[in-house]
Amino acid sequence: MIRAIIVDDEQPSVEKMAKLLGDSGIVDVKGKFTNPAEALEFLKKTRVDAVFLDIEMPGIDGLEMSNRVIDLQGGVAVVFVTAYHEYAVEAFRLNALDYLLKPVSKDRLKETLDRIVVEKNIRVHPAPMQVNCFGKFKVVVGASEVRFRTVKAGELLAFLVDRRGSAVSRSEIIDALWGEYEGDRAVAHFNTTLYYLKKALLQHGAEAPVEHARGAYRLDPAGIDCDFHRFMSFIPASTGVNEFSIQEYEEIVALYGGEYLAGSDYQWAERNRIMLREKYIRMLIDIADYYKSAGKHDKTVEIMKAGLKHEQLHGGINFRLVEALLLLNDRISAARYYDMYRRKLRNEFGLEPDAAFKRLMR
Amino acid sequence: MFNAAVVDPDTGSLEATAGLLARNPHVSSVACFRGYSDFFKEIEKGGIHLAFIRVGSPGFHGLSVARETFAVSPATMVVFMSDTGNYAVAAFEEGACGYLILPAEQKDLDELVDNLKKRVKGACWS
Repeated sequence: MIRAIIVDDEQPSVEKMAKLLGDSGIVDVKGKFTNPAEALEFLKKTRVDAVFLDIEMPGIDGLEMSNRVIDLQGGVAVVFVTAYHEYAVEAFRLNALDYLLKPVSKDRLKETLDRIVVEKNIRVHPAPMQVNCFGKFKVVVGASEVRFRTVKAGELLAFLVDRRGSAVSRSEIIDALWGEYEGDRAVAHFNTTLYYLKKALLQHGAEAPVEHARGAYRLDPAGIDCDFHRFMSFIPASTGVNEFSIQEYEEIVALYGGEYLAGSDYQWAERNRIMLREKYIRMLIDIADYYKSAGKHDKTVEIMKAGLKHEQLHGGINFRLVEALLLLNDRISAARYYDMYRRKLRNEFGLEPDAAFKRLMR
Repeated sequence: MFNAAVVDPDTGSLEATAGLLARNPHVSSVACFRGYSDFFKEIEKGGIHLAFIRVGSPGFHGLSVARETFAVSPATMVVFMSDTGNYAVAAFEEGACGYLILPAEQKDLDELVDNLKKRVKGACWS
């Protein structure tokens, strides 16, 4: 469902919009406001996907309001709803997702909602196909894991998932997966592999959400439920981690069940593998720092222990874990984790913990 | 990084826009087209992330070009360009991601690219 609020100084307009959104069946109207200031207060506490904003309002106008909304919730879709044409250029400058003229028709609103669903990667109906990219690549349809007849069929699917809905030309796919073959042979390999891929999914009762148009292929992200896509669709608010966003941060880091496409040696995945690992660690550290400032050291311990499963030798994670244990007066566990870290660091890289870490243990 | 294409029947503004794009650090390549047939051949190959399309120029059906672009390559982000703001509502209706008033300055273009970076549909940016 799309979580949305409506802001318009005229009550009848608010109600009309609420009815249209409600009738769509895919929008959960979280709040209706005739006072923009109240809407901003609400957005400090509740995450939404979209804000439907009137422009001409007394006090804070819609254009100014959109800036404040983005400051509070970075990834939110702003949709202006107005009786006037003349703000459309400014709306583009503010990166609005859409601009609706009143009276809003049901069909035009449907286009807006489709755009929100695609751009914010919102799941409206459960997808039949589950794709796991963190850890080993795995495709599950219903309750059973899909087995591909050839290794390449799985790789082709992983490659299209990696592109997150972008169309990729056949030659680009062939370069990435069959670079060692030439001309017709490579094309033949590609065609056979695509056939195996589709067939394997069909045997599990799922149709491959692969679209083909004019020499390019794309996998429709709406057709799958993918941990990597969900991870990537998260856009941190500019306010960082706080008491309102912490739950969402934790849900997102929990998706990272291991290295991206672990166990594979796909060259084309290397860049995303590094980027995702860095993003994961950064979020983990942000969460730990938030819990430290909130004095919830037991939560820091919990989160850092989960992080150690994937990043045993990360200095920042080990430091925060040991520091939190010390703050909880658990010196024995702190010493044990520190020793484990120091030993592994020495054995694998011949290195010592940094000076700050050593000072912490004195 | 973005691969960009500019379609504009007016050579002067075509070159000016391409120049601005070339100076943006997030744009890796710029392809220029005065007509739509070569542009469509390029779009069909895939790999164009941003398409800057001129609208409201006499004798050039920019809106149709935009519609065809959406149909051929849904992942390409389309930006409308015009010397007036008159097509901005239409641009939203068609699903454009940006609007550039011509003549544009470097800061207008850079601001627009920053906005587009925030809403990339595919994996060209991460």
